[in-house]
Amino acid sequence: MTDSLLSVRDLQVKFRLPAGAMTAVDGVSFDVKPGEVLGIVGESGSGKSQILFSLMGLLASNGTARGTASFQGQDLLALGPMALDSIRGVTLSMIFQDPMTSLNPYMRIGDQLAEGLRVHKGLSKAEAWKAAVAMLDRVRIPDAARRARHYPHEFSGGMRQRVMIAMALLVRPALLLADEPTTALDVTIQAQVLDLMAELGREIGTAIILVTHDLGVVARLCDRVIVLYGGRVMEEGEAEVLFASPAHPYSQGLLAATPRLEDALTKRLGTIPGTPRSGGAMLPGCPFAPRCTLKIPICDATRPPLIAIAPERLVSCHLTGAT
Amino acid sequence: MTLLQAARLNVGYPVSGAGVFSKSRILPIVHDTSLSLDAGRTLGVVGESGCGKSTLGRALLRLIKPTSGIVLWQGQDMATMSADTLRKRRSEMQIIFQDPVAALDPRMTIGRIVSRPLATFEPSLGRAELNSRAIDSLRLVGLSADFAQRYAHELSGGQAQRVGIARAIIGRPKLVICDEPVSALDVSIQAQVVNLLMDLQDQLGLALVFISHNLAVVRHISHEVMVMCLGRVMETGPRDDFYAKPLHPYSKALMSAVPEPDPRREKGRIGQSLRGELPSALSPPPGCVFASRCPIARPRCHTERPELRSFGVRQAACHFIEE
Repeated sequence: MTDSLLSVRDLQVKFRLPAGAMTAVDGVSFDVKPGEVLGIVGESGSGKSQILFSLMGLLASNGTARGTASFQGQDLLALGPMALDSIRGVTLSMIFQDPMTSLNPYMRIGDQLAEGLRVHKGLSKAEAWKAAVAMLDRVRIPDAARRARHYPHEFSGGMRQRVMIAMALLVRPALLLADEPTTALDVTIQAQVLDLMAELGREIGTAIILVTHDLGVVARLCDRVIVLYGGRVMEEGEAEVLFASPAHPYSQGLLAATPRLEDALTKRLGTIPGTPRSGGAMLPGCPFAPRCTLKIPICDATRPPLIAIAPERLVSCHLTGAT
Repeated sequence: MTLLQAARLNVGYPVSGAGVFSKSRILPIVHDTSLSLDAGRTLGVVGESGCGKSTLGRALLRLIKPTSGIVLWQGQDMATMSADTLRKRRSEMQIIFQDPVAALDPRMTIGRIVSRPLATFEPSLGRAELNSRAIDSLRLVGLSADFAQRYAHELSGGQAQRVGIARAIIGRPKLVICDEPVSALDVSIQAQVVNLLMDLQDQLGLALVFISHNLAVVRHISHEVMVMCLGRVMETGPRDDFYAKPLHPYSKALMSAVPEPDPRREKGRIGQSLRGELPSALSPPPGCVFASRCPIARPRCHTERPELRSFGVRQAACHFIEE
């Protein structure tokens, strides 16, 4: 696709461990269009966060990423640290699950926000401070001019995450990577943070990749969804279509296991037997096969290809291919 | 049969005073909370972090001494029980925790961990008997006998939580307090554990106090629901009435904040999150604890604390329920 902001092709993320190599992401490809919100959903060990870390050049020292990730004409995976620094925090920003570890405890909030504008956009100290206060006000930090002079420990968890969003979006990046940004927050605070991401993303025209384990969060924010399991794409499609008619047994299982407020109260929740895959050697077949209730012999032997079953709708399952 | 009753329970923690030489004082966490639980039933306690739900759970077991109020266990006041009686009664009540791995001693075999309550409450039992009872208990929670020889670090989160449940039920308790038992687990595993708790309730006639921030999970497992905010009960009632039409504006806000896996519905909820900040537990407001965030708050709400009032079988604490 030529109109893509980000094109990831055959991304492989491997870690060297004492026990041998561990593959976290195994041949993942996807596109992000300008202004679009893409959700990557999966359970622990699915490799969802490692996709973001590899794009940001933040893999642990024993990790390597292969493949390509072209972003505005440059391959993120091929750039050195200097070149990456001219992109990170400028056109590409990231927010994390725990905002406290991403904020400098010894620096006033206003200074941390202003720094990006001064370094990357060349604003004067006064201009940058003014823009920082305006942005804090925009993310509904009460009494922003006074609060900008406070330190991170003086903010609540929800406020810190709003500060992180303010910081990430202040430079008006083309793409925001968000790694479980609301997982540590209460539902009411989570709703505020999701609102802000939706509003500001639209206002600034920033595309977002949102990584989460929460299908509800994906439903609220995302235009398109990728379901990841064992480092591979199980299914991809528009959010409304995928949630209404999940095609992969794993997506079907996940949706059935998620309790809803308006479900008929059946006696028991749907379950997926077994536990999520955690490391170990790559299986020759489908990574979900050991837990799949519908599996046939070929599932353990051969990897199902990711095939299009409709426009913008991809599924990786031998059963789908058969029909 | 009423198993557990609490009347006007107040619980607090000692905190040091402001100055070096000032006396320590009690910081109240749970205020005037009353509840009643019958054998074989589940009370869901919902609220955001800091609402006092975990403190309440511990006070019900008398793991923390309440500052005032009474807890009756099968009609008997726990405060007036002799140490010996309290110890015997304790075998009838158990607790499971949010972080399942941290709740297990890393140096003990799973078999020994599971049989600990029996070894404590029935010291006459021999080693072989303890081991075989541990294996029975592990089987009840869906783990095979060979788990008895393993250690905590060899288990996944879901398996560790099953071990926590096996330990809780080995002495055939009448009550299990479940403190956020599924919050740390993946969605597919969360559903397995919720179903297991419901099965065990059916088989063993357990009463459960299910403490959680997740309204959808609470709806699934509970018979009665209690909503707390900053240490106060905002609303209580039977599950079906509560979820069909919550009375308190706080309950309504919590419910609409829960993101559900339904993009069509969720997209309409963007921009509806609560405004305003949560008051600090250290200096609670004189009026309703929800007033600073309540969409229908009026001047009276900021000055006068609403009492819990009855509406048929339900109760709610709001000045303006009738409107």
